[in-house]
Parts: sequence; C-alpha cells; structure tokens
Amino acid sequence: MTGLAASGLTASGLTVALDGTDILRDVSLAAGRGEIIGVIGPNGAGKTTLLRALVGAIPHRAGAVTLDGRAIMDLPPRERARRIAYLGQEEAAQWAITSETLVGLGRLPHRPSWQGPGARDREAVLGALRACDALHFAARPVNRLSGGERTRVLLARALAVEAEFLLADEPIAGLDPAHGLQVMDVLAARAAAGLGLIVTLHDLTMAARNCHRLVLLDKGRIAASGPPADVLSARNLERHYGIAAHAGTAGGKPFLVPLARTGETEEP
Amino acid sequence: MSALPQAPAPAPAQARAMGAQRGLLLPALGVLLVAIFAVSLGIGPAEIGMREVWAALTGAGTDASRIIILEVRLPRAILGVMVGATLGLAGAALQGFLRNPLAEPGLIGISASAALGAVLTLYTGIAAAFTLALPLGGIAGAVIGVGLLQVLAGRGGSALTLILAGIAVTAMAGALTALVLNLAPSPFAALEIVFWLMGSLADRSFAHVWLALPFMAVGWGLLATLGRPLDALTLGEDTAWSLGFPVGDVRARLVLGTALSVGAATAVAGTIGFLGLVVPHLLRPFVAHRPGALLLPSALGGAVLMLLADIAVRLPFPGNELKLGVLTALVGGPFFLWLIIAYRRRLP
Repeated sequence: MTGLAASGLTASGLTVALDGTDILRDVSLAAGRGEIIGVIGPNGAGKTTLLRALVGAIPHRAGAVTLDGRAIMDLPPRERARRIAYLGQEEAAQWAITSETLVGLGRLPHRPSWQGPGARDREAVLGALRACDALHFAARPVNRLSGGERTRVLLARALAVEAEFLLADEPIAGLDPAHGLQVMDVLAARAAAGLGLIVTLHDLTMAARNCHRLVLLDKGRIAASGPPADVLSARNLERHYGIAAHAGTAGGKPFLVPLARTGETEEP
Repeated sequence: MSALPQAPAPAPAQARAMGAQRGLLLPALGVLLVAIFAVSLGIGPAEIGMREVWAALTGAGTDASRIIILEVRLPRAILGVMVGATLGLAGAALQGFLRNPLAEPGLIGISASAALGAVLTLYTGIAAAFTLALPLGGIAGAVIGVGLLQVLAGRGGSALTLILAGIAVTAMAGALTALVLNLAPSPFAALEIVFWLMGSLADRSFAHVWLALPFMAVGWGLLATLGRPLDALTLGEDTAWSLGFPVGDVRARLVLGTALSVGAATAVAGTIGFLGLVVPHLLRPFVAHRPGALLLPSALGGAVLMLLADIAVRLPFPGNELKLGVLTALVGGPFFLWLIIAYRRRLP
C-alpha cells in the first residue's frame, strides 16, 4: 500500500523518533471509512505512539500520514480537527467542569471563536452522551465520576466531534465487562454508520470479535496484519506476546483465553 | 446496550439556574468595579466629599479639588484597574494553560525581570533623570526577560519547560536584584529600591497610564484569544492538538501576552504578588470551572481587588501608606495556606 494516494487515513513508511530513539519503524497501514482496525501488541510496542503520530500530535522522522491523499500536516488545524478525532489514553480533566461541558469540547472545531454552541452542537453532545450511557451524570462534575463513568464521558467527548475517523487509545481499559461490551457496540454502530476507527486494545478477545482487521505491533514494527484469525495465530501469540492461549469460537466469533507464558518472546 | 439504565437528561431548571448565575457574574463585577472606583477617588489625605469628587470630574469645583482628583487620584485609580485586570487575567490564563491552580503571573519570570530593569534605573540614577525612566527600565527588563525565557523554554508547547525556564529567569533576575541592593551606595538608596519593590500606586500620573496602556492593551488582546484553547487544554496537550489548537502556538500567545501586560504592570506599579493567584480561585466556581470562561471575570475581579487593596493601604496610616505588595502578601499568605489545606482535604 506504500505510495498509493489512497482514500481514507493512511500511514506509509512511518518512522517516529522520541528523544533520538526510533519508537516506530516503517509502519504502513490504511484505514477506510466504516472499518474498525485494532492495533494490538505487548506493552511498549508503540501502539500509543502510532496513534499520536497518525493524528499529528508528534512529528514523524520519515514517511507520511495522509487523509484522502493529503498530508495531514497540510490540512488547516480546524479542518483536521473536524475530520480526525482522537481519544487519548491518559486524558484527565484538571478542572471540575461538568460532564456535559467536557463532552461539548468535542464541538470546538465546529464553530468559529466568536460563536457559542448552537442547536446542532447540543444535539451532538446529547447524542454522544446517550450513546455512551452517560446521560444521567451529564450535570455532574467530572472529578466526581468513577473511573468507568469518566472513561465513557471521555469517549463521548471524542464521539461528539462527529469526525470521519476516530483514533481511540484503549477505549475500554478499566471498564467492567458490560460497559466494555457496550463501548465496543457503540464503536461498531458508529463504524456501520461510516466512521473509520483505529483502536488500540489489550483485550485480545475484544479485538478478535470486534475488529475487521488487526495490526500487531512489536518493538515499533508491524509484526503481522490482516484478519483477526490470521494475526492471532498461536505462532504470533507465542513469538510476540510470549503466551500460549486457548482459542475457540462462541456465537460464531472467536475468543482467546491466555493460559501460560512461554518465555519465548524475542526479548534482547 | 439497551439493558443498561437510561436516565433522563439533567433537570433543565438546574441548568438554567447555573446559566443565570453565570450571566449575572459580569454585570455584578462591573457594578462593583464602578462603585469601588468611585470610593477610591474619595479617599486620600485631603477630605473631599463624593459630591465634590463628581464636581471635579465634570470640570466644576475648586481648583484644589480638581487638581487632587484629576491629577492624583484619577490616574491612580485608573492604574489600579489596569494593573489589577492584568494580574487577574494573566493569572487565569497561566493557571488554565499549565492546568495548575497554583500558577500565578510571576511564575514565568516576567515580573522579576521587569523589577530588575526598574531597580537598575534607580541604582544608576537614571530614574531621577525623567519621570518615565523607571517604568521604561522596567519594560526593557521585561523584554530581555521574555527573550531569555523563550530561548530557555525552546520552541514547542511543553508546559514543563515553560515552568522550568520561568523559575530559571526568576532566580537569575532575583539574584541580580539582590546584587544591585548589595552594591547600593547608601542605605537610603537601598531603602528606595526596597520600597519600590514592595509595589505601590502612590504618586503615579497620567504619564504612567499612557506609557503602560499600549503594552497592556496588546497583551490583554492576546490573552483574550486564549479562551477556547484553554478549554481544549482541559484534557491535555494531545487532545487540545486534536481539537485544532496547536499547543506551541497557544503557549507563544500566552507568553507574549503575559510579558506585555505583566511587564508593563510591574514597570509602573512594582511587584504585587498573590492577586493573580487568588482572583481566579475566587471566581472559578462562578463560571462552572471552565478555564476559558474565567478570563474576563478574572480581569474584572482583579481590578476590583486591586482597587480594594489600594484603598486599604491608604486607610490605616494616612500620610504613611502601606505598600501594596505588603498588603497583598499579608492577605494572600493566609489564603494560600487555606488553599493548600483545602486541596489536601480533597485528596484521598
């Protein structure tokens, strides 16, 4: 896919260095609208760095990130912000603003500075809060939410942008199973409506059941990519995660239960 | 997901009440400011009633009261509004940008370097050469300080490097100010410098107003554009970037706006601490804790508090005023203590 002026959000030959060390090396991927791409890999593989580089928050040393063939750094910031939404992993609100105000931040790129929120903005905020099952604490200050509630409000903030692409870093970390499933359902529904999604996940079963394609990162490189069943092969799990897992099918979709460490990762 | 409970939207009455409270904040602060401004004009060694103050303002009244009101008290009150608004606005902007409720305008070193510039004019005797020599020295100090700050902090938008650079600039300017004091030719020269450093609005004229106003106006203009970026920064630098606000650009506007306004304020009034720390805190609950919405109320609140402080310094010992910086520290110190205790209680 390298070199193609493809539509969608693409990275080609992406190399990112932080403090002089290459964190990502020669990463290429293409995300289309309506598609959920799961980015998986062990801790420190570069998943978060990949997402930050795709949204442009950190510069890349080599390669390119394009949206419908245009380099994202060439897009005006407001337009880029309307088209690519980002949900960071360690987002935390410093101020005791209400959930509704926080979700409203997602509407900032949609209006010029002199304009207050309009009916369309309010509709988007309420829609996002409802989708994330967060409507009943909309008026509560975010510093008085539980961890799970805060996670859903932050997701609602990212959904309220109503962008063409959403890059979500660990959107279900710290959620109970019901809310984890709910968030994945919300993401699936948004994808069905045309949103392109790139999601980092640690839960391999969630990744296997919900993503159309998986990208397995290890030590900053793409180790495997493709349909979940291929990427999550026993060989890959052993080589890159250092685990043996029980794989099965339930309800027509795969699941994975990690069983043991094999100690055969490619650690230096 | 339909199995999960769906509660109704928040009560509209509650939301309306909060909106009304916010809507009243600015008019209330405005009325308060006008009232305290009037009181400020009525206070001084010469007994002048409010009726006479009004007469002097409209061009009537005796020559003596006209001179006192128009050339002594009016510029002093106007300067109080300008300096107070600057400190309130810059304090709110810095707290918002650094996402730290303990930030204040002096943090990035502009106050210290402006003070150093002014102190040098006192030391060298240039201050006595013409009226505006001292504030011009202060502005020169602020310019050098912000230049140094930018070099130290580097490009980009990191809040941490800005704080570290600010601490470095403050330390260097403070050391040099101490050196100047150390080398002062006489105890009287040293006392003059120390008194100036304590901050005051006494004996200022319209010349000071006109000198400071252009710098402050541009600085206010820059800081006033930060409302939305500061809101976006609530969730951190990456999220602010993803919402279309490059943090490097936001930081550049913040630093320049603070340098221009706080530099000019320090140049004409000396260093006045705590105001820029306290005002955003007092007003934050009234704007539902939104950092962007806090800017304008903080400017008005800063002006109100500065005028109150400037009235307070004139009351206890007529003819021998307290210094503004002394008073704000006397009041601000305990407030700071309370702040720390309140924060500690909120932590687990």
